[in-house]
Amino acid sequence: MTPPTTLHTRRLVLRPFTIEDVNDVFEYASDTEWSRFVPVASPYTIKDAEEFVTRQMLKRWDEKPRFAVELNGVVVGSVKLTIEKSLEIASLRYSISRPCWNQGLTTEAVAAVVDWGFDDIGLQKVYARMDVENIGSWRVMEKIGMIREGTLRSHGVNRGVRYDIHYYGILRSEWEKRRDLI
Amino acid sequence: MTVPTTLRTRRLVLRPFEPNDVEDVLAYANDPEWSRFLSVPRPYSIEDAREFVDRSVSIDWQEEPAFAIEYDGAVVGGIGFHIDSPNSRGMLAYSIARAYWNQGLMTEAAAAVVDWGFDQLGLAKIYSFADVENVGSWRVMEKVGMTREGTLRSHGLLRGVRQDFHSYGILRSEWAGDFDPPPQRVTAG
Repeated sequence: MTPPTTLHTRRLVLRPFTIEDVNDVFEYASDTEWSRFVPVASPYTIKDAEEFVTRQMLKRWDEKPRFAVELNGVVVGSVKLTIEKSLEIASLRYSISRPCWNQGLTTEAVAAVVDWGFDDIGLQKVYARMDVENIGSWRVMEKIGMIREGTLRSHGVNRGVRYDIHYYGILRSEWEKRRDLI
Repeated sequence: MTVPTTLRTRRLVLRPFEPNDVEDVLAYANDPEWSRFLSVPRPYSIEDAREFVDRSVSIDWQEEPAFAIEYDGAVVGGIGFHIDSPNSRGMLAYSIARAYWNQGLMTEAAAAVVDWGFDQLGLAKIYSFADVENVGSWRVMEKVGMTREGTLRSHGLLRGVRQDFHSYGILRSEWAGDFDPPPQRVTAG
């Protein structure tokens, strides 16, 4: 059993969501540019933010840990692992508010969670899937050393439009080799 | 609404599992060569067969339509989908008894079910995974016209050994459905 955890990076604190985070979540999630590739309601209401935060607080940390990403005391996004325990793998999802883009903050947050997944959860592989058009997202994967293992055509639907998905993965052995470089 | 269905191909009948299929399932599933790439118990007991058949009889056809593959009156395998409705895609899974390998029977069954998935379920995409070492399995996907979309490394764990998977897919627009003769459909109550 993994207890809810807090991780510290150079600029960020990654910690479990609390009910105090509703306004911060609403602030970034009501930006339609932020939600372009994220399956959330739009327009995004304060009630959506409440539901999101409450759901995170009820989730089992040993199955779906989701870290709130805190920058200067404000929640600006989140990073989540969905752990498939019997296979010793986990899928990764993440998003960060638009004002925080292009500053390496997502990479910093994601690297910390991947490191935690390999070290503390004992995963053998971490993988992520995203819309091929979400270039910012898969660049983060490449920056932390993930390899593109495939492109699944027409694999998902986003607001009525089918899209192709890049599949990225990194193995434990690869992470151990490069973690000190990050 | 997807109701339990029977499909006929040149040599096969694909129909819902029935409670008295237990003996047939046991006959092929208690073969370690058959289960080499399958996450099933070894040895495979009559209770395991009963549990599998019970589950297959009571599945929800909206989410997991599953056909028994019948050849000469005996059940020799199974084939079905896991449906992801919001994304309008189906993941295909199948197996057939070792005695029926290398005769095009799995391909015949897969083609009929893929055709049914596009035509009757209205899927936009059908995809599947196979252990890279399970050459017979991914050859079936290639024979029905699927494209290899990637190779997912170390994505599985079977009996203590990590597995790489080839990922295959076919889009509705790519499906010609011109297998000869075309599968006939019979809908059972």
